[in-house]
Amino acid sequence: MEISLLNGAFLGVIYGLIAIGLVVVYRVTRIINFAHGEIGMIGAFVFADLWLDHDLPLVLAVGAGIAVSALLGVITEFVVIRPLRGQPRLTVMVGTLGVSSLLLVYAVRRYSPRPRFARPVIEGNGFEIAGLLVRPVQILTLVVALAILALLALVMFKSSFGLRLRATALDSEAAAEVGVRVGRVSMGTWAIAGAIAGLSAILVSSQVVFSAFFMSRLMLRALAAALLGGLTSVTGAFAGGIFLGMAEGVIGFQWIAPGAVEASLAVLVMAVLIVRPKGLVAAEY
Amino acid sequence: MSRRPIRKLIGLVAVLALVAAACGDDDSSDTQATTAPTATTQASESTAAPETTAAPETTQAPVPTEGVTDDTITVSVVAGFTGLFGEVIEGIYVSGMETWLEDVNARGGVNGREVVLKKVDHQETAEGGIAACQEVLSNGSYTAILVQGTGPQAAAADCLDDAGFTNLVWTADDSFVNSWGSSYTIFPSEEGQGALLADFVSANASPDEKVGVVLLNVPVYTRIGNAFVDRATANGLDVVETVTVEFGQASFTPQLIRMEEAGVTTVAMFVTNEAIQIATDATTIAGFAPDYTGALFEFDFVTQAAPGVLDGATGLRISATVDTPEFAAFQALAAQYERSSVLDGEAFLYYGYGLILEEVLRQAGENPTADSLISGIEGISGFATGVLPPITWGSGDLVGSDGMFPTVCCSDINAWAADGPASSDF
Amino acid sequence: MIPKLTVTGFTVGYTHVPVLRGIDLDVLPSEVVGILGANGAGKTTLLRAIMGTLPATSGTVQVDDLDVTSMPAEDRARVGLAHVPEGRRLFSSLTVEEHLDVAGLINPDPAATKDQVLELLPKLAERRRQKAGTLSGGEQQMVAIGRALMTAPRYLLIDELSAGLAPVIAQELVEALVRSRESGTGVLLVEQSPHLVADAVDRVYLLERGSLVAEGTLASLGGADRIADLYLGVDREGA
Repeated sequence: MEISLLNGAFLGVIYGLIAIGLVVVYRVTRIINFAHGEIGMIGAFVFADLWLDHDLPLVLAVGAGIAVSALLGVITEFVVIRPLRGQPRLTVMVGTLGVSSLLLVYAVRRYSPRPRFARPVIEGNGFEIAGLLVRPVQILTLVVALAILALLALVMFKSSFGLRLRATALDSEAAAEVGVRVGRVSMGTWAIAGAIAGLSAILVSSQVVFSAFFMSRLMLRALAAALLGGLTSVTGAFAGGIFLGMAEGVIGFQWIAPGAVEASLAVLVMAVLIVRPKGLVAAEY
Repeated sequence: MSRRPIRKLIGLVAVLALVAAACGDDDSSDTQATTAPTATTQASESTAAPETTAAPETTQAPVPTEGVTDDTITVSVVAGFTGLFGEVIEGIYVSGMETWLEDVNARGGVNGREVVLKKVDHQETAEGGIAACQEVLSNGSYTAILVQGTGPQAAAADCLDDAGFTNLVWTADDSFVNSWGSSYTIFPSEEGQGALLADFVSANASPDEKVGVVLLNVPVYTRIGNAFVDRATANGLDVVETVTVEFGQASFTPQLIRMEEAGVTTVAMFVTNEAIQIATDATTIAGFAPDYTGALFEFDFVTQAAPGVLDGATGLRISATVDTPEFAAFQALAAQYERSSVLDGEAFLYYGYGLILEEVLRQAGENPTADSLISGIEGISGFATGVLPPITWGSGDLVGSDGMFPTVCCSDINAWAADGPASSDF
Repeated sequence: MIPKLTVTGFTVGYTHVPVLRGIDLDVLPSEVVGILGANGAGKTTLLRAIMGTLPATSGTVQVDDLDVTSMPAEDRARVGLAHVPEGRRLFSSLTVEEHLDVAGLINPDPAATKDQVLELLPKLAERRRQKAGTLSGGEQQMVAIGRALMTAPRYLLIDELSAGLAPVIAQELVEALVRSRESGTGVLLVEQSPHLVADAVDRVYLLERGSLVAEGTLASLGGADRIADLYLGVDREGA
C-alpha cells in the first residue's frame, strides 16, 4: 500500500506539473488550452534533438526547448486567442484543439510517430523508499514543480506584471481602462504557460514513453487535476495532480479489471466536484 | 465540454498508435534460406528472393482477365497510406515493396509480364477498408495484397471475400480467417500467434515459472493476449496475474507492484511502445527482475528508443530479423534501386510481401485467370525466403504460415536478434 | 487651440440600431460637466464609447489636440482619459491599495498621486489592505474613483456616482470630486438626478433617446426642478 501511494504521488507530480500550466492560462483567459501538452512536447523534442543528437550542453538544450515552447505559447495567443477574442469561449477552446492537432501532425512528420530515446536530465541510481526506487529525475520534477509554484506566487503577488495579470484576470475591461495592456498580459501569460509546458515535457519525457503523443496522453489527467484544484489555483491543481496520482496508484494496484482505473478516477473526480463544485482549493488572485 | 474534445483526440491518437503497432512487424530470426520447392530459387544468397524463371513469352490470352494484359499484370497493395502514420507506411512501402518491384521487373517481370502495383489506401478506418475494397474491385487489379492494419484490413479482406475476389491478407482474427473462402492470410491468425507464443514460452519455462500477463485494453492486443493465456494455461503454465492496462498510461508501476507481490517471474506483455515503460517501471520495484516476453513489441523501433531496457526479452516475429544474411541481401538490393530511405525490419517484411506476391503470380501461370490464381495459391507449399516463415496454402487451408521467428533482444544495434529458425512447433 | 475633451458627431450602436446619434460635446480642463438623462437615454453607452471600451460607429474623440478615435481603452487611459464605470467594475479580490497601484502603473509619479487620492478619500487609507469585494457600496465607489484618479487623468468620466448610495455619501463623493478639479482635471459626470450635481456642475447637457437636446448652465436651462420635470421624468415624446 505505501509503495503504491508513494509511486502514485510521484506520478501525481507529473499530472500536477502539467496542470499548473493549464491553470496559468485558464486563470487569465478562462480558456482551457488543449494545446498545452503539444506545446510542451515540441519543446521536449527540440531539447532532445539538441542535447542527444547535436551534443549541445544540457543547459543550453533545456533553455532552447523551453524557449521554443514559450514561443509556441505566444504564437497560439497571437493566432488563435487574439483573433477569437469576444467569440464564445468554446470556440476559442476548439481553436486550441486545432493548434494541438497541428503541432501533433507537425511532430509526427518532423520526428516520426515512433518512440524516441529519452535520457533523464539527471541520471543516477536513485534511492529506495519502502521498496520503491525513486529516480533522481522524479525528485527533480518535484523540486521544479515546487519551484514553479513559488516563482508563480512571487510573480503574481510581488511584481507589477503579476498585478496587471491579476487585474486582467478579474476584469480585463476595467484593467484596460486603467491603462493595462491586456494584450501583452495575455501574451505574457501564454509565454509563461508555454515555458512551463516545455519544462514539464522535458522532465517528463524520460519518465514515460517519449513519442509525439506523450504529453497528449497526460493531458486528460492534468485536466482532471486542474479541475480538482478548481481550475484557478495553481497550488490546487498541483495538489489535485498528486491526489489523482495517489488514487491511480492505489486503484491500479487493487483493481485490475479493464477500465477499472479510468472509471474509478472519473467517478472520484465527479464526486469531489459534486461535494466541492469550485474544487479543492479556492481561487488565487 | 472540456473533456470530450480531448477524449476524441486521444481516441484518435489511440487508433493511430494501434495502427502503427500493427503496421510494422519486424524481422526476426535467421531463417536458413530454405529453398522454395516450387521455383528454381537458390538465388537466396544474393537477393533472398526466389528467382523467377525466365519467363517464356505468353503468346495468347484468348479470354481477357481483369488486370492482365499481354505485357503487364496489375496488383493492388492495400495499406494505410494516409493519416498520422501514413508517412511511415509510405516509407516502408517504398523501401520494401518497391525494391522488390524494381527487382522483379528488372528480372523480366513475372511470366514475362511487368508487375504494376496500385496503392490503395484504407485510411486506418473500417469504412476506409470497405472503400479500399470497392476500389480494388474496380481499379483493374488481378489480385490484391493487404499488407498492414488490423480492423481496416480485415474489413477490406472481408469485403473482397464477399465479392469472391481472391486476395492475400497479412493476418486477421479467427472470426474472419475461419469464415473466408477467397482471402488467404500469409501469417497465423492473431489468436494463432498468441497460442504459438504460449507454446514458445512454455517450452522455455522453468518448472516454477509464474507468468504475469499485461494486456493493453485495445482489441487486437487483448485477442492475442487472451489466446496466449488460454494456450499457456492449457500447456500447464502458471499464469498468476492478468492485468489490463490502458493506452497511454503514465505509469505501470501500480500493476507491476501487484505482479511482484504475486511472485511473477515472467511478464508477458501484449503492448507496443508501452513495453519500454513497463520494463523501466519494473526496475523501480525492489527485488523485481522478471523475464519479458509477449507480442506486438518485437519491433526494432521499440528497442532502439530504449537501449538496454528490454535486453534479454524474447518473443516471436512474423518476419526475420535484421541480423540475417537475407536482410543484408535486401539492403544491397534496395541500395541498387535507390530505395534505401527506410532500411529497417519493417521494410524487410514488405520486401517479403513482394516475394510471396511474386510467387503467387508465378504460380498463377502464363495465362493468369481467376481460377489459375486460386490453383496457383493453393499449389504453394513450403515456400521459404528467409524473410517470411515458410508458406503453404492448400485447398481449404487459407492460412499460409503456422510458424514465426523466435527472437531475442538485442543485437549490438539494439535491434531484435535471431534466436533460431522460423518454427510452428516449440 | 484650447485644450479640451471634444466629442464630435458621435454615433454608437450595440448592434445596428444606434443608441447614440450625432453627439457633439466638449469638456474643458477643470470644468465639471454633467450629462443628465433618463434611464435608457444612452448615458452609460456614451461614456463607454468615449473611453474606447465600446466602439463608435462614426464620429471622433479628441483629447486636447490628440485624436484618440482609433485607440483602444488602454491607450486612451495613457493619454488622459479615465472612467468610473457603471457598477464600479472593481477587481474583487485585489486590495484597495492594489487597485490604486495597478492604475498608478501608467502614472509618472504614482506616489504623489496616491497621497493626493488618500487625502481626498481618507476612507481608502483606512481600508488599504482590505479586498475590494468586502467593502460597502460607498467605499467601493470611492475605490473606483480613487483608481481612476490614480492614472492622473486629464478628463474623468464618471457614470452614476450616486447609484445605490445613500444621498449623504453621494454628496460626500461629489464634493471630493469638485475638490479634485483643482488639479486641472475636467470631469464629465453622468447622472439621472440634477439635484445631486446641482452644486458641482458648471454646465450640463441633456441627453434624450440617444441625442443631446440641450446644453447650458442649470440656471440657463431653467433650474434643476424644471429640468427634472421636463426631461427626466416620465419618458415622453419630443424635446
